[in-house]
Amino acid sequence: MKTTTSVRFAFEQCDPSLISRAVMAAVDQVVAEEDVDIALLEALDYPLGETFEAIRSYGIENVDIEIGGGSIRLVFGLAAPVTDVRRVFGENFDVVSSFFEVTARSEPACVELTGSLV
Amino acid sequence: MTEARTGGLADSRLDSRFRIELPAQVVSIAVGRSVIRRVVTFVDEDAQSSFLVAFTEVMANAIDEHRRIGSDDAVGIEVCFGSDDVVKIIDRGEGFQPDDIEMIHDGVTERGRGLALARAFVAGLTIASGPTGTTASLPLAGCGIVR
Repeated sequence: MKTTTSVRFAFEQCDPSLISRAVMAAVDQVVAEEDVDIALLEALDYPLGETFEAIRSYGIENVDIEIGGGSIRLVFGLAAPVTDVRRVFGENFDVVSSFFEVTARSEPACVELTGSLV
Repeated sequence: MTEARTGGLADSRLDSRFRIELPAQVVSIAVGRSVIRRVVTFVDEDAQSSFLVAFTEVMANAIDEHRRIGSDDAVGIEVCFGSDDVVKIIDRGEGFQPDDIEMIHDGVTERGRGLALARAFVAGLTIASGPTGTTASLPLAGCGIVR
């Protein structure tokens, strides 16, 4: 049985550009290990990039990545809660939600993306 | 809300850090290398290659140690930057004895040969070790900067 790979980031005083680059580097590498179709692997960069842009002003403090069993889950821990994901993502919500189920929680404050890799 | 790092003087950099907790698996070496390539600007390709060789050796040692003791704990990578840029690899193994660390620094022991190689590639590499784990610090000074 394929196991789940978990990678956890915690950030202190890091600018949003570094946060997105570090996390996306990890996602790209772990997803590649899953033998995912190369087109999907490359396509994931767009919704993930839009997610970072949408939530950066809420202060990304930590990111948990779980990949395995044909699925991917990212949890972005935030300094401030997102109350309306559609408004936060704006016109990009439909594109992002075509790749991931997007949910937000206020306690602890986080945005979660869950998607399939098959 | 945190938008960006702030500071006083335009040229100053506040000390910042991020930490990654990774499974004690070979894939974690690739993840760490990939992250470093994305967040570090190296002075040239040789500097990047040398640093990544050293990083790989140290990470492999950390993963081997976790496997040796049958630990499910994560291996940690910490990137600290600002006044001094450094990449740390943290394992939760059983550590080295002080005498072993000296012999590792001199490239004598078989077990520490990978660390001796890493030290040859990264000037100023240091090891702090105790009964609950080991932290290897790889300074980026002279070869790159976290951006």
